[in-house]
Amino acid sequence: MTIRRGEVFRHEVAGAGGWGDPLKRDPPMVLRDVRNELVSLASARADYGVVLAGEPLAIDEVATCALREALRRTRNWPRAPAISWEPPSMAMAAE
Amino acid sequence: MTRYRVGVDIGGTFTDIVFLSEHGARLTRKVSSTVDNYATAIVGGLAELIGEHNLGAPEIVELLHGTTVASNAILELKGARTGLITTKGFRDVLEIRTLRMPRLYDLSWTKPPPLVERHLRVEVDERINAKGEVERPLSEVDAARAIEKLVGQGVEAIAVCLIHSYLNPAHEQLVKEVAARTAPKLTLCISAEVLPEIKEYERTSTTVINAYVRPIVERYLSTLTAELTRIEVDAPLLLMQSNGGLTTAKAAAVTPMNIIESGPAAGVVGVQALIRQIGIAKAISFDMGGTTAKASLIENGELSRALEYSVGGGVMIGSRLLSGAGYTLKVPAIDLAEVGAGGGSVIWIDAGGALQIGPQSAGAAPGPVCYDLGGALPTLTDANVVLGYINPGHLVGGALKLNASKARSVIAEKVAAPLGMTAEEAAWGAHLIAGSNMIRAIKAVSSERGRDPRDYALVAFGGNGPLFAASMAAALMIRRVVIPPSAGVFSSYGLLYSEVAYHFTKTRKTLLAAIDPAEIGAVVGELEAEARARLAEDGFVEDRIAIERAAALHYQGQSFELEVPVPGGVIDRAVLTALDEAFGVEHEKTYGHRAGVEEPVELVTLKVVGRGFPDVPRAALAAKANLPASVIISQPLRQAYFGSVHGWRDTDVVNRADLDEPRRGPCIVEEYDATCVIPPGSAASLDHYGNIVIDVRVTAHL
Repeated sequence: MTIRRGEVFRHEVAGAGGWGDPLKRDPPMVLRDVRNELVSLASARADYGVVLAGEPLAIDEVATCALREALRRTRNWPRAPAISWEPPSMAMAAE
Repeated sequence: MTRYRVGVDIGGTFTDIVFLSEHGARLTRKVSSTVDNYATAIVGGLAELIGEHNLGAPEIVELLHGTTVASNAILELKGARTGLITTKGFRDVLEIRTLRMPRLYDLSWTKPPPLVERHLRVEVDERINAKGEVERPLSEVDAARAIEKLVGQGVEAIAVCLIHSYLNPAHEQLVKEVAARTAPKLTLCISAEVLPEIKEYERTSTTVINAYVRPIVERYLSTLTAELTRIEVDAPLLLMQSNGGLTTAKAAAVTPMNIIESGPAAGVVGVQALIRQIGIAKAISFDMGGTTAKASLIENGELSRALEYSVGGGVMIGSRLLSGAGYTLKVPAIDLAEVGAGGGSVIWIDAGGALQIGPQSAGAAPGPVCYDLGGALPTLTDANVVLGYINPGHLVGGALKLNASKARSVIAEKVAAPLGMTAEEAAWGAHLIAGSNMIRAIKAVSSERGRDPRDYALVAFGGNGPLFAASMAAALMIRRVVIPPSAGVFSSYGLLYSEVAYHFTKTRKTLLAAIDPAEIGAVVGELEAEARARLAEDGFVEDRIAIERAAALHYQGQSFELEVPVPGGVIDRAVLTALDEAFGVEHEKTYGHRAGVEEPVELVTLKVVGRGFPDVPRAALAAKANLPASVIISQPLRQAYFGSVHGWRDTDVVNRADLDEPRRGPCIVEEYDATCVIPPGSAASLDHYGNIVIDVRVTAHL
């Protein structure tokens, strides 16, 4: 490939796979990623079930709990879809 | 009235104070560091010495200070909340760094968190190209928006680092002007003033560090100054910089990036002065305190220097500060290697059942178990008490009484029992392992750089240096060890031999062959004027100023530069030709080869160092007559353990002055601030200046 003056070669790669169930990620860490523009507000909701609102952004605890419950019901997984190294009793506790 | 110059050096465990009179007499004091506010220990110690010796505060004419305040702020991530304004597209330079892994096969290495989090890094839409021309002008509105955004986030300091500002600072200056109007109380550092040099990451990182520690250093210095005023000490306060030169408190408060490695530098400068006096050309400086041990090399009377280094990222065994694991600072520093081994280093047994020392330290509080201040973990000092090296009744002239039976039982229980050894065997093991860890630091600055340690004398100091030096020298096959007077407070003493020094640099990336000598001469002239102006501001008159010039060069296409001196006088074509040759020679010396004449050499950065020599005379090092008062030896003979070969031996305990008559080991020299161990087989005597000189019996193993 020849790149000429004024042209830009841009290659976007996917982020790495995550570790563990996103619905169990500590909400303050999700907030931090959103604040640092590494995760969008929409993704925080859809993927992590974390509801952020206000200025400055803050975690809506009640809404987050409810949304995470709803997501768990929707996806209808009795437990996280990955191998878990946690004792089963803990992984199941929320369900 | 006798005039005194005073050196104060803060360590992780002790704060050391030395008074040196114009006649060469000295008073010393070691006090526990007050970690929450270092000024407390300094002022307390000064007041004690002033009171005890009936001095008037005005007799102190100069106060020289080495401090770890700035490096601690970084190590503990306790700097100011800092924002960064950068060129659009360069927001993540600080986090991406140089893409280098400091330890190649260590998968568990975690990059230290950036000192400015991403949401506090704001871009402005501007661009200056590599020729210094404005491609996209910066609007005042955009600059104001960026500042306002960060101020809204509650930052206390802002670093500004725009691309190619080292060639054209106009945009950074615009940000500075806008900030001066809209947020006058904010600490603001622009890279064009802090480090006008090429290389985005290094410039950004250095500017950020400066902004990050500046409010902390400012507060510390103003507290210290106020406390000093309270005890009526109003002498000028000078601070040690990482490069081994002093700076005024006022300048240090503006560019604290220069005082990050302030603490370790002073001792090396002291060794430089010492070996000049006793006529040794090559020495290894070895400084071991309560928390860490540091080694550095002095050759032909010159300190070794690094052009950049990194701070933090954990103390790695035997690494030089260049590891790249911490936060990068492109600021000249004395090149030294550090290990986490000191008197307070904790002795522990790892998961594999092997004996380990440090880097965790018990510090000053709770300290080693034998201090009886609540410490529960066995430390090197406890091991040295068990071995009979340290007199339990005597540390810091008896001001600190040690509990020897507690030391023995903690070593027996936590170290000896799990290993199935006796307490003395376990303590001896700890002594050996600490020694071999520290030998790695010495090798890092000598054998790993092509220097044979056997050609050097080992100058050992710090509270614990003299205790370990002779046995380490034996293992390294170093034949001569020198222990200066007041070894335990020698770093403070080194402060008294330093001059004021300021470094100024500017990048002018041009092929040597294409350079207009007049243009380069003009840049050097500007830097010189800047250096003279700074020194004049500090009160130095023309005949007390010396200027040195240097250039950093590389072969076209290389990423790293080598520095060579630029002779004084007018810069003409002949000077440039000489630079080309000097670079080739330096390249050969450093890398073992040089390119042919057809390979073009490129000038990267010009540098000027301005030195100021204070009026107050730098008194000669102490003569024998001025040795500090001897301590009273309560017990002239005690049992000390020297490994399974020698076992427990009757060991003479003497004063430094007793070595006027040479002695053979085993022998222990007790002093107010340090204990020196002369192992069996080695011999010790006193030279004309009161230094203990140990003639080491070289053994194949430690």
